[in-house]
Amino acid sequence: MNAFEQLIKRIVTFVDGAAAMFLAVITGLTFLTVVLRYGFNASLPGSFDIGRLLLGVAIFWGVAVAAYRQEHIQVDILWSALPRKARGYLNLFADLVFFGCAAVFTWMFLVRVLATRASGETTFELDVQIWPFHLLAWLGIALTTVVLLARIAHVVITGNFDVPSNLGPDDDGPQDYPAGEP
Amino acid sequence: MSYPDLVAIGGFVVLFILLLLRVPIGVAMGLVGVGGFAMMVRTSSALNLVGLSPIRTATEYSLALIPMFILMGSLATASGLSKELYRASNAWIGHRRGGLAMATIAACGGFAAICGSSVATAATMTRVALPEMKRYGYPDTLATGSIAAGGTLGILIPPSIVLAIYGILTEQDIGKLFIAGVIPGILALLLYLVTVRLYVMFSKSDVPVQEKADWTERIHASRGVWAVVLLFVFIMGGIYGGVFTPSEAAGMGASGVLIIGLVRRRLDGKAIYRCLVDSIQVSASIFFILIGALLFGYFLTATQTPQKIANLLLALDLGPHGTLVLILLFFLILGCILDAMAMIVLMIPIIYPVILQLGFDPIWFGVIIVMTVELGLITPPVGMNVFVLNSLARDIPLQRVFAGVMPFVLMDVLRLSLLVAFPILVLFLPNTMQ
Amino acid sequence: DDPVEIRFAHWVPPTHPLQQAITEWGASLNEATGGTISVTIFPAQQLGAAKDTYDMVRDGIADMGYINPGYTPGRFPVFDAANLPFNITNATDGSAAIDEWYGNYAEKEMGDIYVCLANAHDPGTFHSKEKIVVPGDVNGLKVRPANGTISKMVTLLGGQPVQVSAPESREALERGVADAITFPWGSILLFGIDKTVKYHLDMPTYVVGFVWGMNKDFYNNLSDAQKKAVDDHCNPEWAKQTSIGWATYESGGRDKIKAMSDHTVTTPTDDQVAEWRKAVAPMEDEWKKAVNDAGYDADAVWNDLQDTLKKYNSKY
Ligand code: NA
Ligand code: NA
Repeated sequence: MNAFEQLIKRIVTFVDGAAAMFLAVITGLTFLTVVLRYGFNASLPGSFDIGRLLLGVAIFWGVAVAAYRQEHIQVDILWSALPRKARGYLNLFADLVFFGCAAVFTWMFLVRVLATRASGETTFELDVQIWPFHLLAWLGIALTTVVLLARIAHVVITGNFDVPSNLGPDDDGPQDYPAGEP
Repeated sequence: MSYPDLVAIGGFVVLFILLLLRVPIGVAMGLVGVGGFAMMVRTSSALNLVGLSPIRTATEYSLALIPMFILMGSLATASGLSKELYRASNAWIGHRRGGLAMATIAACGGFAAICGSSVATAATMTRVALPEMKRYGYPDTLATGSIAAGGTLGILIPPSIVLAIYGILTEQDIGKLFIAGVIPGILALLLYLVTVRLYVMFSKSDVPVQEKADWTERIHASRGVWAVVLLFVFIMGGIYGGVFTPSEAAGMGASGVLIIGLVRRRLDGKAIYRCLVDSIQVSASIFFILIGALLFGYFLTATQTPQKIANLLLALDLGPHGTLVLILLFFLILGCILDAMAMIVLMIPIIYPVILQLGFDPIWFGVIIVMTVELGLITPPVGMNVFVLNSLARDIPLQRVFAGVMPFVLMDVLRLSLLVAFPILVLFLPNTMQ
Repeated sequence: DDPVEIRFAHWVPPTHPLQQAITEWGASLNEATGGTISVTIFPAQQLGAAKDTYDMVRDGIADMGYINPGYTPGRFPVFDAANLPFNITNATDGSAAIDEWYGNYAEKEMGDIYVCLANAHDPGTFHSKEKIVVPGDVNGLKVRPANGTISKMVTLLGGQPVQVSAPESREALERGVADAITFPWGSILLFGIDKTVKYHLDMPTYVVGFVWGMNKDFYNNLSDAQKKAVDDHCNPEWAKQTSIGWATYESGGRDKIKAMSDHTVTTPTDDQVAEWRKAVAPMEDEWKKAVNDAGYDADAVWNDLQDTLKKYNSKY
């Protein structure tokens, strides 16, 4: 594993943990809102907007981690019927399509973040600027693009189509059932 | 055929090809949606849609309930609630013929009351219940069938992620949908228990019987379950009584499981962190599909396909129930190859206007359609619950599991017919919320 | 002229009076262009979220859209003046006034769209479980505000804003999540809130201003004749015309509520109105600061609005 892939792995690990912390904050804010309302007849100004903006950051960072661990939901019906080698080609194709879409998404979303910054849009309460949250969320999409690029580069450079489901060999992926299946 | 019709049909064809080629569902839907929008309107507008829509979806407050309900289920598993549920169910009904399988169903139902996901329910119960049933020499069809089918209770009994997504896509009250799911969910649980009874009555294979638990064990085993009961009553009661919104219920539920787990010393920092990481992962991949689905939806709107299909279906003049049966059959067939959420996000924008025009209640239809797509989780050749079980129990061949779920599939169809014939079973509780 | 279709996006259900207004506006435009411009309405956020309507129009995702600038606080400071409380008495001539006034600033503030017209809904006010007559009564109450501006007003008066969607507000009030709501009158009946809130303050507390925007390229690509027809449909008269249906609907609600025996409708005295004005005065200062910061002469903009409102007999 080269230095580039090591670096990506470290960033993904950090992003993973940070997104988890955001979820903790969102849950805590929700809990506090209810407790304050019934316990103290009080409200937490801005919690609604901060909660939803953090949700956006957490989700987009999670998208990057899921791309790294290949946990985005796919239809396996054809894939599972194919021989090993063909599966590798199919993986590469899917990654290429995903990469193309992620790259366009990264670009267009950055345009949007800059437009939001220029527009000066704020939250309903507390007048907090919205664009910094969107910029944080954008980092997740940018990272998704880089992760996919790294995986494609790995396949093309090594010529090994038999890629593992993630770049790191001992990455402790989250669970033993497919992510995102409701 | 007009240009919009051709673009719409072409869009669906390309979408299915991309899905077959294993492009992630969210990417495929988003790509076709944006591409189609570009063909219908113009490329620059379609590209701007990419900057606009996804962040709006990801920062929608009402969607915060998805990660929080997932967190609740995850924390419940980590704090051993699933094991306790199984032990308690076992103590009460384990001694009957097929008792271990019935206890599995009951435990699935209990776990479903705090977990919004079917696959998570199936995965959790596989680890808890399969070793027990194997130890007692249960036929593997019954053992795996009851877990895979029991797992579907995860989205049938509220809270339910799929039901919540239906609510978001159709702008229906998620709280009402959850309350509407309570009676059908309990009905599903009871009918699955009946299925196990029928199985052991008519099965030629030998189903062993285990010893009857005494009252000390029963009481002892049930002590661990109070927490689940309390939480379910708390969450559903809170939504029913309007004490909090569904999103707040999710936050209270996750916090509740956390507090109970901490008090009982079942959770430590590391476990909590693990649960948070897992939950955000699962949520991100759900949101990713939703984002793609909404982009695809704007494309469909631009081609006006939903209205056209609605008119086409209505022109068949099959009457409300005839058309409904046609739609449900279509979903059943689609369910063989597509998973539950993909079907909901793909087809609801198209089918929903028809349902409204036929005069069906949107809350009732939500429960019905979730019951229908749930079947897809256990029908061959693609059934997520069966795959999960298979990945955890490699020694049991897929076809044995699919054979095992067949009796449950038949019971599902019976239950679905019941709920279509008697909508009051679904609507009774939500109507009292007025 | 080449026939073109306007894809018009809005975010209320197709049963809303607004749908009718857009339909009539479109029919008239269609006639004026000899059938070359037709309007297809996409209601209920079918083409995108309500908050994104301005961007959707700018980017051509929709050709026209019904924009609520109050959904994006901080973005259109000049337009916010229309949303300031105790300012505008009615939605018909008041809409004509807003349109005429905002026409002077639209090119600068909403320069990347073609602002067809600006209008408002019928004035909304406080509807509450406990009687509200003077600003002090809002102190300590949980209020579901109409938008960001009213949210600030509630905070200023010592109340707590509760953010729930319009359809959720009935439940919020019934369960005690909120004690009061600011709404136009007819909507109280539409959402079934009259079962919970029995006290109503008969005072044109605020209006919510809206903008009918058109994509600039779409406009520029029209023929001269079509442009003229569009221009003729984007003026103070049409601003008034398109707000009448909704305004009639809303103000009809006041008469219905007044006729209900279990409801109390209170009209404040002149002194009490003065008290309200005094209590919310800091909002005007805050608005002026934001507008000055954005590079306008806030006092001039403000006086212009007041003069135009007087001209149209809708100054409160
Ligand atoms: Na559930
Ligand atoms: Na299936």
